[in-house]
Amino acid sequence: MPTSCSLWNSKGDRGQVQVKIIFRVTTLVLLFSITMLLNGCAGTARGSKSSVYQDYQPVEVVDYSLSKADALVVIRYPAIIHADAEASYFHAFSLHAIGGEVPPANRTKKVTTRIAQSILAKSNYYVMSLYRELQKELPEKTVLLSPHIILWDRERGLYSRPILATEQIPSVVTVDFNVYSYPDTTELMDSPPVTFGDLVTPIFVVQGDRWIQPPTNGLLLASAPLLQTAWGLSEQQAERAIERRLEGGLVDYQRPLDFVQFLNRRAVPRKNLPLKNVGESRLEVQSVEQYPVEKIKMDGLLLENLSEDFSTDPFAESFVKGAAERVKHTLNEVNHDKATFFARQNALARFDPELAIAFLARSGGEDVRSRLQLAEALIEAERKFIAAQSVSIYDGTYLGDYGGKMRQMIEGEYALLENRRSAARKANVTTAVAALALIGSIYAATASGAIGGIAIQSFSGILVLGSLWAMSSTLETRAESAQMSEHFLALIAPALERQISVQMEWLQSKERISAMGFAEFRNKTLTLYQARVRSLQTRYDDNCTFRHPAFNVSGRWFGSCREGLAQDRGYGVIMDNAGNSVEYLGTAANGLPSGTGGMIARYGRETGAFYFEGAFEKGLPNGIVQVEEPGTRPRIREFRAGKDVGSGAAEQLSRLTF
Amino acid sequence: MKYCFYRIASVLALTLAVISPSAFASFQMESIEGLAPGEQYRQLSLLMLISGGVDPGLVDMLQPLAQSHPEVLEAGRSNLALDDFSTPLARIVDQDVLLANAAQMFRYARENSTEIQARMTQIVQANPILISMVDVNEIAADAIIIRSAIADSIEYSNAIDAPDSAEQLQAFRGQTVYLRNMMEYNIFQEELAEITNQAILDLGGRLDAYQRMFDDDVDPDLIKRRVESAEIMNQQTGDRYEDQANMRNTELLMMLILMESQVH
Repeated sequence: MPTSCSLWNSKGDRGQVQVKIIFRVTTLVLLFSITMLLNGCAGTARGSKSSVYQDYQPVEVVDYSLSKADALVVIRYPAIIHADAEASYFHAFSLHAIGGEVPPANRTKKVTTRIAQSILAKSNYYVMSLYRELQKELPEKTVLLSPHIILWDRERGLYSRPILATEQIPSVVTVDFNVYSYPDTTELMDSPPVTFGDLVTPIFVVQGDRWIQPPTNGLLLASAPLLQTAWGLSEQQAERAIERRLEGGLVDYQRPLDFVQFLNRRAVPRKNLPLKNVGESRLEVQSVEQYPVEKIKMDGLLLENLSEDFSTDPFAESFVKGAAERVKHTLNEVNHDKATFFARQNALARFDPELAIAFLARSGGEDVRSRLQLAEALIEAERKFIAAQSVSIYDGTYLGDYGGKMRQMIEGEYALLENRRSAARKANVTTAVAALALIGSIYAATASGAIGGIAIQSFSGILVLGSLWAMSSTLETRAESAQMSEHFLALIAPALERQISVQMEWLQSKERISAMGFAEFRNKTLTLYQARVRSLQTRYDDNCTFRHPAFNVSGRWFGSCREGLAQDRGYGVIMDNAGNSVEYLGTAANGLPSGTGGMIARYGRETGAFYFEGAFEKGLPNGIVQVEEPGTRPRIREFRAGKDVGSGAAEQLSRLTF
Repeated sequence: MKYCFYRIASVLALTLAVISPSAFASFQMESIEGLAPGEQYRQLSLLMLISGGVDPGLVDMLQPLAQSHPEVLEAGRSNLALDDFSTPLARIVDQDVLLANAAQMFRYARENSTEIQARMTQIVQANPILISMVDVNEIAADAIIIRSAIADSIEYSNAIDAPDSAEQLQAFRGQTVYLRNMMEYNIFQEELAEITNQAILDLGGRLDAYQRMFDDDVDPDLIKRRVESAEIMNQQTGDRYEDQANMRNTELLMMLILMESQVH
């Protein structure tokens, strides 16, 4: 088969000129491609110096909530993994990669396993920056940690559950946080996310109860790759809550970590998700904020001596402060009592079901108020107990040996990267090649235990992968890399291994000790509560008939009733076989919403939910009503018998009080 | 019930013990000057809690009784000390005098509220240790007994026949229940805080012990933090009495504010 060159040669001189031109063009294209590739990889090595959240102006959080029982922020993160779940976790990690597709041949490498482990180890460390920053800014004992253990079983696959009772405490928002690294070191030149040395890729999700932002089922923000998963989980959470309410039981759904669910299985993609980009101007829009995958480059000056001086946290400076501000903005935007209303009700139902129903009726009676005051004091005490557990985890993780060793490791990783970058510059090799090769070699070496050999092997693997890379490498840089890796690992890896295992044991023991401590504590506080509580004078029902004109079936009403039908204040829920549902909190007459209330309507075929707050009559909006729909700003409209007849006056809106 | 009997017995005992002409219901500030600061504070707090949240309509309702017993403003047998309000004699034999005194007391407390509160603050600032030991809940319990005695007396007096008096009385009883609930909440909170603090301490101890199993060396940072904590605690002990006294006063004022602001 003739090559293109030989074909052109046969055409004579003119052809030769064309060959030269083509050759030059090809060379230029090739050079351009190389440049682009190098830029991409240089991006990997460099990262972005600041997060998209760095632009958020500092704000003071003002908590107008009436309840003192609730926390403001619960931070969930993957802390430990059960031995039975390891294989599944490693497999899922390589299968569901963020930023690319790992070839099947590379999925079972030990290096991938090691990266998967490093995510847990580093998430445990970096999450403490977020905790500390929020704790510093928000009222005392309102930020709680919820470490999760990753588990596996045949039915559910990979999932996680909280180690502490943190998620039983009502919270305004819940933040999922972890860091991420791409599983396949051979693909690192494609600029995938990495957490190594001065580079950190944070992944996080912010969500709350469905009433906090009904159109998105309470989902407020999600890292772009986790969006579909987070959406699916929020939807599932809302549906389960409605089902349980209809059954009259406690809402016992435990949301796994969104990241673990993402690894477990791909969410069924939902079209037309209401999304918005990062930016303050669109905060009111009822959509989910997409947080792009960011590879943050921390300030090198703060990393050079991190193990000795960590008074200024480099991760906080480059990411956490901005992210914390974002969370604080959310806290200022939402109604805390509305956000925690149902979580508080659920918490009450655990130890005082009678009061929990009266709570839904939002009774103003002194008998309910005084009993509720005692009950909320009980939840507040639990919050304080868990806040103490969180401080203890922070002390043990960040300030303890584990944190010290992690800082040594990060400092070492950074020194290596810098050496590598420097060596690469000397040898006229791109920074990207040097840095990425190093990351691969470190992970590979720590995975195998045979440090030097594997380091070189992996390093070579990366170089061999593309001939362009191989051309620009030198033996000198390879040797330096191996030597540095060996030195680094000899110093750090054994200590890190031990520290990780100690941390695991510590957290596991903490689960046991905390569970014991919490059970004892709860037992004592409940005994006290039962001894002090007075009977309620008014009776509230939990199984009256609730109706809605759009449904042929009857629903369930909790609160005041007359002749078996919803009457006066309470909460009603109704659902049909097609998955359509209505939730209503407010006043009712003859079983139908009538008076002031808030209603969430879900339609099986629609994405998201619709919220109406204001005046109702015979089950339908009638009067001035605030409408919240997915993807739009809240609007004040006027309704007549359920029909929208135009814009309404905000001052005439009758708001629901939680 | 047992608790209630105990409270009544305590108040009766207190009444017998503190038979002082200076503690009359006319409640001139000068009349309590001779008492110990702690007792002055108790009397003023009791006065405020008894009168807290009383609707002017109720005072007007009792006014005819006050007018028919002008002697209540004079020193003599008809005047009642605060603690006399709950005695069987006052409640059963001389209800009209009791209510006439109550009317005067309510009026006086309303008209001199600012002065009374300023005097209480002055006592707190001058005697922090003494006031830090005052049990606000005990005063609230006495106030509840006295308010109940007044409410019961209204029910059996002619004043109840006045228009709207039933509603006025119900509101007064409602405020008394509210005061009782606040008192019970305070007691509950104290016991709960004790359990919570102990549980947190126990938790820390257990984890510390477990953590030490993994530590090769003693953690100097931890020891340093503990020492610093101890120093801070010692320093705080000095300020504690003043803080507690202010806290007691705040608790009391909070009860008053809540009673005044309670919507029926």
